[in-house]
Amino acid sequence: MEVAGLILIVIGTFFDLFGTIGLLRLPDVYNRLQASTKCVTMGTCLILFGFAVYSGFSPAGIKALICMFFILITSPTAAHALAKGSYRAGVQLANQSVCDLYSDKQVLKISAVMNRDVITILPDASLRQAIDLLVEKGITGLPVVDSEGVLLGIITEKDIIEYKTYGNVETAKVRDAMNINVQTLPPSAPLKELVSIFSQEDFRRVPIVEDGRVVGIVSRKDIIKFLKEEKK
Amino acid sequence: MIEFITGVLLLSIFLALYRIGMGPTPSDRAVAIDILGILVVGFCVIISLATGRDFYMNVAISWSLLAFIGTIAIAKYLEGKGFDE
Repeated sequence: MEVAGLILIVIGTFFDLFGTIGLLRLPDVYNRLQASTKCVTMGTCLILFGFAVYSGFSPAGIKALICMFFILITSPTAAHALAKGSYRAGVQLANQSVCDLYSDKQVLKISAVMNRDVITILPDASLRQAIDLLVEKGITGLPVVDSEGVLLGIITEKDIIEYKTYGNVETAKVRDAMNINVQTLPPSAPLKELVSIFSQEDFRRVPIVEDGRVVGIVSRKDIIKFLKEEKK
Repeated sequence: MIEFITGVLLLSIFLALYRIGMGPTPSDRAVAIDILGILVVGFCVIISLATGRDFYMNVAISWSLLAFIGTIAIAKYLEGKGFDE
């Protein structure tokens, strides 16, 4: 029994340690709370249970079991109260947070902003056609899709200019110059995700893809237009 | 064995103390204090085990209840603070 008790105590101390590592390393108060409270409650309960196993039916063992019962009830309650208190006090979520279900503000989806009339081009079209289309429509990039509407890549002003440095624009096809490294998002993703792509990476437009098919596109300009309409 | 367990628990307690010191928000400190309370309960058990004296278990029980009341008080205080401003 003593060995079993000691093993439980050792496992418990490691739960405590990992819980506090979570407390130290996670980005915001809510993450810290959820990581550390669960782990440390579990760890200390294991220590108490191990002690009860170790000392058997002695007064100290019974006290350990009572204490374990108290902690199991009080610790989650305290954590819940703390989380609610912090939220009410206006402690911000970490930047990486994806959604905030308690918030009154409705989470904006990309589908509210995206441009549904996507002008696309086939990979076998000539580069000249792509250039004409870009100039004619006054846009800066075209998603390249096959006849089924599946996204293959994107061709932008930048890609064409780059291609001009090593290839012949007159004879080339879109396939030769397009960029296959495309960042896409589903229409159900929150707008916040899109904004972080625009602010951190060098993409000027993001095709919105659902089940492999292009259903829309959002450029930086679309976001600015949306901000203007939101103001009204 | 006891030395090893004590060492690991002390390390956890120092990590919690670091979070209490660094914050950055009052809520972070409150969380860390709550965690520290639970760690101390575990520590009381280890002391009781090492010394063979039972009364540390009484300390553990009262500490766990007092830590709970303290944390609830801080949580309510934080909750009210948001409305004052």
